[in-house]
Amino acid sequence: MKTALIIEDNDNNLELIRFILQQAGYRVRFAMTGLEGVQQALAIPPDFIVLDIQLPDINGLEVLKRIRANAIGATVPIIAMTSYAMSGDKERLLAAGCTSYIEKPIDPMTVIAQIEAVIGKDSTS
Amino acid sequence: MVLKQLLRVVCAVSFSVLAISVVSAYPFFQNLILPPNHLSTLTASTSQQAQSLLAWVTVYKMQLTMAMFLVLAILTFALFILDQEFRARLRHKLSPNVDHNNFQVSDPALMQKITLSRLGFLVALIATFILITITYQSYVNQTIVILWAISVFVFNLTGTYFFGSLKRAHQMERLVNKLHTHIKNKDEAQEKLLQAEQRLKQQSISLAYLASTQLNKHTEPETFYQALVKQSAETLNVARVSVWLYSDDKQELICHTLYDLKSQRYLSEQVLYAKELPQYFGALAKSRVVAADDVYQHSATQEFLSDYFPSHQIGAMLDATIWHDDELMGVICHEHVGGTRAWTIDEQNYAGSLADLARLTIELHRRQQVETDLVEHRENFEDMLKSRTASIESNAKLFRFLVERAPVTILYMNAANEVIEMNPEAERISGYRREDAIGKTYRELFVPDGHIHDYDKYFREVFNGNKIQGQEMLIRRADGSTIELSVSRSMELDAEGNPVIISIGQDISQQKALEVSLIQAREAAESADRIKSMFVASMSHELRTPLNSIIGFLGVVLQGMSGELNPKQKDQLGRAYASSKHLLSLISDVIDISKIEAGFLETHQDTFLVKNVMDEVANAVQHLAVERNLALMIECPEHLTLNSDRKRIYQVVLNVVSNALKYTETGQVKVVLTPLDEVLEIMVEDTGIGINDEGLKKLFKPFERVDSRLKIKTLGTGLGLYLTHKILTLLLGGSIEVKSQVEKGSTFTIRLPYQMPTLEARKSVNILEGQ
Repeated sequence: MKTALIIEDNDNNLELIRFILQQAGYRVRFAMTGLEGVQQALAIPPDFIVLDIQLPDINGLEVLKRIRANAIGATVPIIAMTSYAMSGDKERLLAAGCTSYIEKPIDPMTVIAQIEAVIGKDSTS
Repeated sequence: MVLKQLLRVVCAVSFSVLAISVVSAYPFFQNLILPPNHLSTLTASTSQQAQSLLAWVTVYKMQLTMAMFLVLAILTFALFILDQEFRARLRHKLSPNVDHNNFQVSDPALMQKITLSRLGFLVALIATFILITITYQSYVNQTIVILWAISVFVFNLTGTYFFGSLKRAHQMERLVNKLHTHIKNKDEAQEKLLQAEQRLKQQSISLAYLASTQLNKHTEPETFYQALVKQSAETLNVARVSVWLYSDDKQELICHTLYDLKSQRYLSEQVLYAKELPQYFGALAKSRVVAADDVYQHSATQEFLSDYFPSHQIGAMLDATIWHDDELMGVICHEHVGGTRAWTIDEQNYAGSLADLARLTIELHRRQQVETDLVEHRENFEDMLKSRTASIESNAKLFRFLVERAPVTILYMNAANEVIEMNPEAERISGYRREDAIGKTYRELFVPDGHIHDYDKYFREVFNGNKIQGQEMLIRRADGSTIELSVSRSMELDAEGNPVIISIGQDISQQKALEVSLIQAREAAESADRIKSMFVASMSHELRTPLNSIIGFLGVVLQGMSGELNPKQKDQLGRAYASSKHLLSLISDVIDISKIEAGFLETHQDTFLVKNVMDEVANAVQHLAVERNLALMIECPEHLTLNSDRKRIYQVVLNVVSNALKYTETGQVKVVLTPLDEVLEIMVEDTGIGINDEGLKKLFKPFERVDSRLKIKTLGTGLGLYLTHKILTLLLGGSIEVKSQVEKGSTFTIRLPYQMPTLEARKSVNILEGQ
């Protein structure tokens, strides 16, 4: 069973993605600030991270950079989620070390497929 | 002469000797030859006495008598010669100027007397000779003969004198005759002289008259010529007199006036041509006066013989040419009618004088014209000067006004930096009074401490001929405070050639303040823009975040992840899900539009194959085409590339193609890409319901939905074509247009440049579009 770390400040959205991931059989941890997210990601590395970009303290891009700056977080798959559905955002995120990119609003019917396309199908579940 | 004198003396002596010898011999004759009684009868009859004397002559005394007679004859001859000589001298004394050798007596009576006198003398001489010969026989006779001889001698002598006086009278007469002839000749000459004098008088009067006419300033040349020809005709008594002047090229002689003496009229103009009359023209060019006494003989006038002279009966001609410097100006022509005429020297001279007068007239006329021109010029010049002066004065006035009222400081300085002049604004700004400032140097008045060096540098530059334009300088005022001026300086030369430095300054303190406030305003505006930009960005997030969970949870529930739903719940939640999706796309479109309009929509430019984009569009709408049973055809060149924003092009084409599919019931949608020279043309053609004119008008307006009989179920924001239009025109530098026929179909044509415009170019377009 793979562990996902969700970094998301909005509890509704957090609950939605947590629910969907749990339904799909993932173990879920979460953080509601950027700094906390970085801390958790580096303390006990998850199998993958679902990262919201708009965060109250440090934004997702900064979180991404800090995680990637550490050897522990250098390879963990990070899937960014943002409503910044603008051209350029995706490129910026990918350049900063983001593994994949999901546009908000997420579609509950396809989101698991999108995630598994990045991390591979959870064979353990 | 000495010989003659000697001869005379010898003669006199001989006579004396002869006389003495005869007288001394008288008693001998008286006593021996002639009885005293015979003496008384001597006077009674000469012939008787001669008879008696002859009786007294003896043969032996014949030889002596002959010898004596011979001596007497010789002496007489000698005396005669002397007498001739004497008479010659006498004649010479009487009238020394007369040629006596060829002297002829013209009076026949006098000649008769002289001849008689000479004959008498000869007869007396012969008689004496005969008497002597016959009567030399007695002393008485001898004595008588001797007395006779003496009387003959005396008679001869007196006769000689008498003859001499006759001669003298004769000479006088001849002299008188001669004198008479002389006087006659002289009278004739005098007469001629008088005539000539008269003519000359007339000529000079006419010349004086003409000269006075000429001197009248108001006399036009033509009037003068008329006076001239009339005067000349009357003075010289010539039938026709005319004035001819050359044309400028000297090829024509134009008759300016011709006076006919007989009719006393001026006749009409004529022209003579040099090419027709080369001889005449040549003759005129060579001489001052051409005097043809007989035109039929004179070389210059041969060309007129055939026609002109016969028709006017002209026999003589006198032409006087008019010369000005070395230029032949014209000719005054006198034509004498009826036979030849010998032109006298004075007439020729008169004609010459007329020509001179004509020349003077021409000169005078020319000079008058020049004077008139000069006067005109001077008047013009004066007018010009006046208007110039006026304009200079008004300019000076304007200039003074400018200097006094100009809202800039104006300073004039001399080479020594001393202020020569300053305007009221300079007084106001600097606080110095003009009277105090003039004569002081700029340095001591205006240069703040510590700026001397800069000031000197600028001054040198100006002196080197450089201009200082808008240099910001700190100026010290009278109260010691400083003010910043924008100063322009240049060096000019005044009327005397002295350098004058003109310094114009503008108070820029207000301008500076304005600049600061402008910068602040700009910064504020920029920050406002940033705020707006951030607002839009955060709006994007804030609006979508709740929607995210709404859509997400609705999706989760609808999927049955949270338990099974009954059909009614499923239908109602489905509606909520669709509406929330619609709301999301609305929000996205609104944010896009506001970003585009604010110029904050970011673009991502790269080069890509158009074919790939079209394939993506095809994939996206494939289900729609299949669903509606429509054919979708896309014609696209394989290797066509664009350098543009791939995503936005995709968005635009997708919008148009999906619209075409939505509004077409049957048939097909055809997409044709045509690469033109400057743009790529994408034509989307459908066989749909079409759009009416009213619909076309509001097609690209926001929130306008074209009414159609099709109740389109597909959710649309009403912003699709509006956004498409915005993206195409404002972001991609392209265009979109539409042609449509109701019930037949519509054709949307998108034109895209191969190279997307730069951000700056887009912004300028945005501003234009915004207006």
